[in-house]
Amino acid sequence: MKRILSTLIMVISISALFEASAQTRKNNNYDFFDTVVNNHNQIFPYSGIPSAIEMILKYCKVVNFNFYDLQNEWQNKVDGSFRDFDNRKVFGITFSQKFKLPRDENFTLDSLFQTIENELKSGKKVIISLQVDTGWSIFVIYKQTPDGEFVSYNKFGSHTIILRNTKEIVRKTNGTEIMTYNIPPLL
Amino acid sequence: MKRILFSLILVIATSPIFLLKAQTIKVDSCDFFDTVVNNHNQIFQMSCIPSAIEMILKYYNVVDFDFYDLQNEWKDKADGSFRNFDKKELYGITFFQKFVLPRDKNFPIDSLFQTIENELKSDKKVVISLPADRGWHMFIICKQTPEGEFVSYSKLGSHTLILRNTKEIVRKSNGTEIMTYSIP
Repeated sequence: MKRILSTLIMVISISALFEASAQTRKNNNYDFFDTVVNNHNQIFPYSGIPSAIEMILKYCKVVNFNFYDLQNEWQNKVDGSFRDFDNRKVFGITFSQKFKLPRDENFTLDSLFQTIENELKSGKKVIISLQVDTGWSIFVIYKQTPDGEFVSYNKFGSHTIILRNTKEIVRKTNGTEIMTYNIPPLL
Repeated sequence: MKRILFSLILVIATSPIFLLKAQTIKVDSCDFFDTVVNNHNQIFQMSCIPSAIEMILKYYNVVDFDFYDLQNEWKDKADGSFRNFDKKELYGITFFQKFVLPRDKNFPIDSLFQTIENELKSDKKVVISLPADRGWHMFIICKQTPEGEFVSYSKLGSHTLILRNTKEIVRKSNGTEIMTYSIP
């Protein structure tokens, strides 16, 4: 629990909290993913990966809001990674691990950002690993703002952690991995 | 900042976090308020009252998502209360402070809960003061679960705090104040 609180504090410290400049977009469009994430819980401290997958499944409406089977199976598994869901078909949706590259000056940041942008433009969300505190936490990129930044969500128990500076965080770590997904046409 | 983080920790401590029972509702319906709250920020440490009012105004589309005038005017005013917005009309919406009563065994909790339930049934949200740290933090009750509990949202900077045990918290504090509103 202490580790989780510490992580949250670091998440908060790296994001623009108070005195943050007011959001300037005038887009009042409803996004179903907001309802998904606010009704979802991360039920174990280390179940960030299956929690993110579950949110995607709920967003695609292939499971109900009370679906927590993946987290309940995962529990507090600490040696998991995106690899556990790479090329795995879950309720008709196939997940793919991407940008598994060394995080250094040669990391293809522009390509990563372009891939994310393309996914968002096609109406899909993107699962991303972001560094918070000394560890990595799993977020879902929800949208791109008019100024080009990505907004990412994850869960801390019932609470929704929202980062509006995703690109900035990724640049600081010289890259990161993402997961995309394919939806069959009939879904 | 430390105070805010400590407050958050206490808020969190009052809600079931990990190992909590998975939510059992099967509501896949959308609520525009989720988009409102996730796009909103609390921009000062002590501006939770105007922040809650702003979220209500955004919910009714009477202001845009970039509207922060009330918080910018309030800033870190520490002696404010619901009274500052009682009977005040903002962009056509009039706010009302209710249940300003001593928080003790005589507090009419059933009446408070019934009032909240009636507001939710009429598709309105309810601003509520809930204990956090040694003070109080403002939340907005957005819905009632099939089990009868109220789900409340608030902001911590950009983050969305979500309590699914609002009634339990209110009972522990022997009551609290709320703000309702009327729409023309």
